Amino acid sequence: MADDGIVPRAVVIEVLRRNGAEVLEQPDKADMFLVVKGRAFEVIAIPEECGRKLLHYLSRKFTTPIHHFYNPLMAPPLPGEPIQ
Amino acid sequence: MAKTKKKKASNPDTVALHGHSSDGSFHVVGIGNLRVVIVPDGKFWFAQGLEIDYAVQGSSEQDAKRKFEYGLEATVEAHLMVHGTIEGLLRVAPPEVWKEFLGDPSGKKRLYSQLTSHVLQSKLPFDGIHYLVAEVS
Repeated sequence: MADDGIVPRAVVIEVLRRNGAEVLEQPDKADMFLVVKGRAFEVIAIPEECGRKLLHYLSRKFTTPIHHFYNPLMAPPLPGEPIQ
Repeated sequence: MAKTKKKKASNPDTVALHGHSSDGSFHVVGIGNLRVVIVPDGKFWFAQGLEIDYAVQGSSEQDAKRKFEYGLEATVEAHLMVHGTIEGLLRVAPPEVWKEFLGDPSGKKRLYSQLTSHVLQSKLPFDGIHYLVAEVS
């Protein structure tokens, strides 16, 4: 993570998935993803670099602790993933 | 000299409408006067809807607007395909978000409206399912 609070897309998607969200890339539009978790269900832009406000929004909407984005090792494992 | 009070311009009501054909394959969705606040976020721009809790990040103010429009329309279509309604989308942003964005002096307040039509595939994209029963030899 850089000092400016920007987190790369790959980390954001990984953390959302580890917190139980389904993230599916939209084939017809760059940067757009369908994100589903519980009742939250939306098509949203997840750009290559995600800023603070977007991370707070994703954290709130998809009930993902904000600190997981900045420290992905704290995110829970994926189902079936061995814990080391 | 008599002072005249300036009448405050009231915010127009936000409206959402949804109509569909009898077989459910054709839908029209209108969203009117949705308040969207666009604020800078470092080198990015962030657009947050208030009456509908939906937001996007863009590389410029224009990019944020474009992504907001596309994303909201795509979200409407996804809700129609899965639930058949847009009720799940009609969630107001929480009070702390209103406070944060309306209180931001750098925020640009905009009213957003859209009318979209959606043709949903009501039939399977193939003729049907042929079940094959394996015979025990």
